[in-house]
Amino acid sequence: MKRKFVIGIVVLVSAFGFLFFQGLDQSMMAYVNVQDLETHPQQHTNKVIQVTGIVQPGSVQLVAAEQTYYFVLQDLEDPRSQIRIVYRGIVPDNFKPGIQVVVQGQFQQDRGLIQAERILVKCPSKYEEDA
Amino acid sequence: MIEIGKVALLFSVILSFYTIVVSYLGYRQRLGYFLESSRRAMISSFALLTIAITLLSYALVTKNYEIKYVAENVSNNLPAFYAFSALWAGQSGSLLLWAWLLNLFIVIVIFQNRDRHLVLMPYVIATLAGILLFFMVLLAFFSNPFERLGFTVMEGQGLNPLLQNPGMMFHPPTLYLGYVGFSVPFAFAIAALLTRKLDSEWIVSTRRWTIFSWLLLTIGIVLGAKWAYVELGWGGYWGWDPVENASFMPWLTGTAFLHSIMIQERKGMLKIWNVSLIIITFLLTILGTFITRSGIIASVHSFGASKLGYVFIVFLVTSAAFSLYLILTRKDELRSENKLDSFLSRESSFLFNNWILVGAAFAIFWGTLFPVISEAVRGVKITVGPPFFNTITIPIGILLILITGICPLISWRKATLNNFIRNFLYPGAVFVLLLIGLLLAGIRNLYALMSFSLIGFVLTSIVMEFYRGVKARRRYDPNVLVALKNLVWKFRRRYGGYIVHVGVMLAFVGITGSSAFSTEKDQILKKGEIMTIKNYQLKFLGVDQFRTANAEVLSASFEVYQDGKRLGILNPSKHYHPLQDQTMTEVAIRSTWKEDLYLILGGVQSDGSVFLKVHINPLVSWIWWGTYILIVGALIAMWPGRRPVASSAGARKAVQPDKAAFDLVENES
Repeated sequence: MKRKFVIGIVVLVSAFGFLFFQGLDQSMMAYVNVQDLETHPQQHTNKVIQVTGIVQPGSVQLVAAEQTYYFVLQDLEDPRSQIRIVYRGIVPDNFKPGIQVVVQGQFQQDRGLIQAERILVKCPSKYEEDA
Repeated sequence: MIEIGKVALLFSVILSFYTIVVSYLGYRQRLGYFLESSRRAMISSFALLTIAITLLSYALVTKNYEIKYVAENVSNNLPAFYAFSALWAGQSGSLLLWAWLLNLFIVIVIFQNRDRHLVLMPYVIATLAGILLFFMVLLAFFSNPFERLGFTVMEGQGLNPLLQNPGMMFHPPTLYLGYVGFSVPFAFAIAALLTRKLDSEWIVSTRRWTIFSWLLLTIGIVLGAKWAYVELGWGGYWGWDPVENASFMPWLTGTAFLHSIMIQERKGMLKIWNVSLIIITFLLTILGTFITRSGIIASVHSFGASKLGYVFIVFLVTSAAFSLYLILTRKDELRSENKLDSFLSRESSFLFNNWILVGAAFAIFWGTLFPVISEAVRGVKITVGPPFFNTITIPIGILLILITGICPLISWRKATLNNFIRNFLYPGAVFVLLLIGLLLAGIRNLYALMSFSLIGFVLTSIVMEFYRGVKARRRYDPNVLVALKNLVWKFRRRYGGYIVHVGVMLAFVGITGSSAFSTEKDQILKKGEIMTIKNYQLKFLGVDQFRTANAEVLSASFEVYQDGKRLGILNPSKHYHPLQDQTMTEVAIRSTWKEDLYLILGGVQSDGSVFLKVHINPLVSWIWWGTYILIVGALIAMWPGRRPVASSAGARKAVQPDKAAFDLVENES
């Protein structure tokens, strides 16, 4: 009786562990700011990453015929660190120049840009910085 | 008025502290009037908090911008209805709501148990007062909703337009009711540990609280999903966002707890497990509130800036350490009274169900906190996306469905192979037939095949349970419907539970359908052009422009045809809110039992053409319908009936309740 339980647990735990690490493997993404990307580009070449930064004011262009946005993401602290972003699709409602966003997409070092697949803007609920 | 609010909060801090001390001393020194005083302190504190919350609501509705919270969360043209809901739109307001609900529950617990559970009650009240004290300290010293703005403004910042939705109004309070509700069984568990009264009394007496909290948490989560689906406009209802995960984790452990307490009640087993589960569930509700309110996951840096975060961490760690200490020092008393009789028994299927649910919670926990942990440990921030959560939860979900189906087929203690096979016959046949049917229909997605066929298996096994029960009852009630009614009503918990399972299975149909078979397409359309997706044709008629009370609207019109048959007009739109300088995308959804046609207006261009994105999400409405059935089942299961056995006649007869409590203590020691 006891052996059956042990076998059951072992099977369950190993299946679980397998899924856990496989899942991690498939979805781990580096989360960097623009400056990190500029200093260590080779680490992220052609990988899907998340980059956070500020949408540079005046840089957003929409090519309507392709529904594609082109803009520049600048570092949160150092505005001289920059990376170009290309994104086709619908941007979140609160997306606008000057706000902080997280861009998820493939870093194409040769073209010097990120082909974005997702743009995340801070959550709707009001987070207060300090109480 | 503002000062009254502040003073009320301060006094409530003092009263909760006083309650902890007095109920502890009252229990130790056996002073009945101390215990009476602790109850009165909690009732007074409730009166004070009710005044505070009323004042804040009044200030919100009358737009009293002297108060910072009001100025930050409402605006002049906001209807009273939404102004009131701003009570839980910001941090300090929602903490006040939390505290008020908790105090309300404490008062209900006090009145429910005036003459019951006399040994446990002093510590139950002390524990609940301890939780209340934590929230009151937060409110009074770290995040005071009555803080003054300090300067004069004529117009507030307004309520986030995303929160201006009737469904959204009820999502946070429902979730909070569920969160707060779990404090009650938690407090009873702690009281049982402290008094070493570790039989099933604490479980039996909080059974309905547990179902209630679980139900409210479920409704809160589903409302949140529905809101995301209708309002956020990205085409789905669940994105494995940290805030969503925060509410899902206590739901999983709470579900496990609901199941495993049945084993303890029946067989006196799994005592450590149950105590641990409710403690973990409680800690997860606090963690959930923390994650939701602090935004720590979105940015770790915001955490360092906020003192609130540290207070939360201190509370979490202290509660966890205290609980762990209690369990370790009472290990021997928590030993099982019985052993599992067999591997093939209902008990062991409950056990497997528990492991799986807790395993899922564990995985989600790591996935959610991964960015924070990786940054703290390695200095590099690494996130895990939805694929991680899907990889792990989909197989777990399917396994859970399987166990839900097998459980009623196996008997308690030890199932003989013979009766197992006999019970297995019909559900097994349905499973095989469904599998063949779905394969013939061209479905090749393994997970979807398993999920749908197993749901058929589960539903058949539940129907058989009802059938057998009704058949047996017909000896007393010849009429089938009367027999069914009496069966369910006489064994509310059991059959209510089965109805909940039916609801969950229907929701699983929707979840499977929409995650495995949804399609999407986008296109730029000029006026008069037609977009085709699957068997739908969408003809773009043009864009209308108009104004509402607080928004400028661009509304596109699409004539929808299915296989050439006209179905009607859909109007996805963009609402621009000038006050917040924010645009809102309002999706248009045509929902049937088969699938949802979901239209998102991406943008309107200068030449009048539009960018349209269309999703077809199969079976989504099954999730909402499943939830309705779940609610009915849970209500049946928790409907009050006979008083639990734990309220012994002797205790109830006692004239002086507190004296009786001490007699009980004395008898035991």
